[in-house]
Amino acid sequence: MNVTGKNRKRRMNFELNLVPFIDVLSTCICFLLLTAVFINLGSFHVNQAVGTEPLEKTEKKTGSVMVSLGGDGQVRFEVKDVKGVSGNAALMTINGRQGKIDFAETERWIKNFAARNADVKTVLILPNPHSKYDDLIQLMAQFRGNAMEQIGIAPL
Amino acid sequence: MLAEASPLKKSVLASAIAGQSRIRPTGQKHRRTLLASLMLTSLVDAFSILVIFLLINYSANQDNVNVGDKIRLPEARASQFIQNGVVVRIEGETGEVFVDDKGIAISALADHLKALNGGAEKASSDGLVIVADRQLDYAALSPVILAGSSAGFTKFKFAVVRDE
Repeated sequence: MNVTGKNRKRRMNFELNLVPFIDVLSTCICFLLLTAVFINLGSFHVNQAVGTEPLEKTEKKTGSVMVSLGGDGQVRFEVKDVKGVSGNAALMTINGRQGKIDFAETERWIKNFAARNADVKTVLILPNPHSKYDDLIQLMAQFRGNAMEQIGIAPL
Repeated sequence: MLAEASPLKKSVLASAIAGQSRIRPTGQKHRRTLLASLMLTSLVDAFSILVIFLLINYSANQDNVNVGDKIRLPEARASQFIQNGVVVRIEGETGEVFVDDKGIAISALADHLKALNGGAEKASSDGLVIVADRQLDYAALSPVILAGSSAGFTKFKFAVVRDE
């Protein structure tokens, strides 16, 4: 038996012991599976002006849309300070369906309005006390989806 | 010596496909061995892919918000990833308010938020994350927005479930 190992030939054919590697991977997988969050949370960012000064400045520049939520799912759009939109054309009321907001109609109106007035970015939503949080979010999503991103919500 | 005695080495030599090569058949008759050969490469591949996927998923959700069991968040398109901020949770039809999991009376909310942030500058930069049930009335939500505004918050982040 060669104790010093000087004359020993180096074997080129070696093998990797994969067992500890698999152990580490399994531990990693267990840890990550236990701590993973599979629900993708998002958020809608709304900038509320402290006071009314910044909002008024924006309104004067590019105009705005005020959205009033009435009872029985009624939604009333009022366009303010937009060139070429005045009188009856500045007002639009969409009645609800079975007491709920008709989101297909609101989406259609918002899409048409955003296509015609691309520079209008400001929206102010005026909910009523019984408006549902989900309805607010869906309306905000429709406005944001049509590039109207400066959204505010009026407190009661 | 250890390498010689390794069961893996034996298993490779006595692998199931060794005797079935068409290019260079060993000529031996099919010999059954007691040692079972495991193809570990595919297993390691699968494990690695799982680890990479979970790591990516893990890093994307660093800012976790405690939603609670009772709250069903609304689903929405065009939302952003949830970010840092003071989390205000509104539970139940009566609108019980929890700030970072501590119950707070609505009348004391504004003062509590002011004290929590220690200044209007930090409050305006971080924002307020509002977690509420999809069926909550705006009457219960409005006092929280008012309290946040009076505490100096200008950014309100309404938590939703991202609908891709």
